[in-house]
Amino acid sequence: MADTPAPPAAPPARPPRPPEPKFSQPAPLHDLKGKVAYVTASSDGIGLGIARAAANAGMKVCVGYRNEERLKSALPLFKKGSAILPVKHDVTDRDGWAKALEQIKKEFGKLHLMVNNAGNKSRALISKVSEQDWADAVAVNFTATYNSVVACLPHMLEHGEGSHIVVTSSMSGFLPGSNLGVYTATKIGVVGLIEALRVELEGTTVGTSAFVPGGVNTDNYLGTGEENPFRKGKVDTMPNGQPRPANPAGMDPLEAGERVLNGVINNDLFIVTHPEYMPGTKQRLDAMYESALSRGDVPWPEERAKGEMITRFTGIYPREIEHRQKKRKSFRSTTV
Amino acid sequence: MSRKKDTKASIAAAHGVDRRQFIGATIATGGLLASMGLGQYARAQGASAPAPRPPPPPEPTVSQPAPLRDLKGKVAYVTAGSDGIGLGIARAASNAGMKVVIGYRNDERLAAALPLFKPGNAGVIGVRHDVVGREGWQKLLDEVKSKFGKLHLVVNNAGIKTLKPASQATPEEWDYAMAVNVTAIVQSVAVILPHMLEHGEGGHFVTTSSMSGLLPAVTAGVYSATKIAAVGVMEALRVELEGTNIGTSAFCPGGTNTDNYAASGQPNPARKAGARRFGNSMDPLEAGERVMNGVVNNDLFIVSHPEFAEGMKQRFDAMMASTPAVETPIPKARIELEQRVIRCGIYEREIVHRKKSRKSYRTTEA
Repeated sequence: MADTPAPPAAPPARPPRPPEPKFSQPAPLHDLKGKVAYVTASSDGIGLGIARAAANAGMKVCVGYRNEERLKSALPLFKKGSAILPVKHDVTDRDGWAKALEQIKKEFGKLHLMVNNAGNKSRALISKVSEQDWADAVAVNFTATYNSVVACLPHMLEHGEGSHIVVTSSMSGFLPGSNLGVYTATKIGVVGLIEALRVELEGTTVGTSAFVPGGVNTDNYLGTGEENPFRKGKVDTMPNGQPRPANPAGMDPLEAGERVLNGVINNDLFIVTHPEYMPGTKQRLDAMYESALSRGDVPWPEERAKGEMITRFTGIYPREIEHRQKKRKSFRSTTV
Repeated sequence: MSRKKDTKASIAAAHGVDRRQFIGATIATGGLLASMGLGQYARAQGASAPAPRPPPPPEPTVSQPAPLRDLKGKVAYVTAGSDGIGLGIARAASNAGMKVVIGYRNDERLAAALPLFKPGNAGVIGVRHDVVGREGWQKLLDEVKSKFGKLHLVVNNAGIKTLKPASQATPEEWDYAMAVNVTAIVQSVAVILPHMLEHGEGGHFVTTSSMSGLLPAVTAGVYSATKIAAVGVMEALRVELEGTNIGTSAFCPGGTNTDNYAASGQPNPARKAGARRFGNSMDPLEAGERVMNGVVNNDLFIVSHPEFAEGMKQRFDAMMASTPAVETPIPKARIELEQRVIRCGIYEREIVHRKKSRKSYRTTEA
């Protein structure tokens, strides 16, 4: 913004801004084969779907987990011959991030794809949440992501090979319709974090995506520390001996994972997998836009608008719209 | 038992939960996702079907009526109200006839702020308050109650104006920005909402986010991300509190001349000579009046700088353009299971509310 120091000192001339890029950031990680992925909380649920899809696409996969039993039941689901490295890691542990990266580097040399998938599925309302529950949700859904950036981004920039950072947000990060305020607010926040990172990293070799899934066929009690009532006692098992997931109508987590990787190789800013949420999302965005219209208001001063120019438009969005209009093979393909 | 039948049962269960009841029942029942699958689970186990739930009440047809339409004689608390936008809001509240409590940390700033209030306005007091931490909020409420009896309007205005890029900030810088820009809102609600519901005279929560909360620009990523989260907190609160007499607004200002002395022609005694100020930006008192107008109208988003609308639209269009092509038909059962979360009525209602004409965006009367 144009800051005007008190007279008489004239402001020093600012250096001219670099020209805006013409196209959206080319996908830094468009060839997944042989690259290394780390997916937090990938011993079950959506994380496992992403990790399996990554392994199927020829990546070496680091499986973040906390629970040995979950890990044990997850490993047989990977394609035979996949390179898998289990990493025991609590994402809220800041020092643990450095240790996890060390372990990954020791085994595979480099890290290319960081999927911040661990989530706190709090059901608390903002208006009723305890201090601790709020802190826990923020720690996993928001803080863990910047912990990962602090730990992994310098490594990615240093090795210089195309890399990518994904956050598993939620459709609640686009549309807070579920009345789960703590979950919604933290998921909205983390979408914003990814957008901010895109603005900053657009000129680098690191891509960024916010993954916003809707209903996925998975155990939603993971990470809450509670026992899943769907899996309590005698439960249905699938042919492979796994418990039958709770929401058979939801998307298969492997399909969700494939869609995430398709978003990575295309460097999509927003990876939307469930189009049925978008009409509702449009209402939210329209409500924001309507609130900004100067309906019947006095016209804004030109001088003010000029001073605000660099914050009034963010180039990543028009470029993303154009990028989105390009044809692609399929939203499930993990090759370009 | 066929999977199809199971799904139907769970859909029925999911449809039976209404939003209002859900507010109270969420924690007790384990929430939405559980309710979606519980019937299905019970059937799979051969247990008796769960009791049918009462039908949901109809969605409200209009946006929540403004709970705080008449500001006269009511009590406002503005955090970080001794300078900048906060002081503009506090002065506008005072001019509208409210008793005003200014949260501050710096004595000199407070001393410089007090003379800017119109003589003859209702009581204005300063309360030293650091917004981080729940105990501080409790002490604040006790002090406001002892001075003015009740509290009606809370403006979470304190903010960290870090310019650190998200990719370069230390975890500690992130933590502090989150604590002030986001968690402080949650703390204020935890302490003050029960008091507002108890006195029953209507209340309102405003959070000063930023245009960056609707349109992340430049490379101040820590600021943008926390301000976007703050908007999300206010939206979630609107969903939760729509049926109560507590209103909610996210205030998203653009360029504001945060030196409150700019219009008075005097130098600001609390600022160094030659300190930066945004010369052509909005006067903070005008920004404050626009906030008060948002309160008396219960606007979900108070946007004071319409010149940002076009850029915002680009962001929203980019989100919409991310809708994937439907390659294989979406299973009907999936959409039915998601039914309660794929739309959120507050926005439809807010759009209708926004299209109504109003006197002026600067009047502090409804």
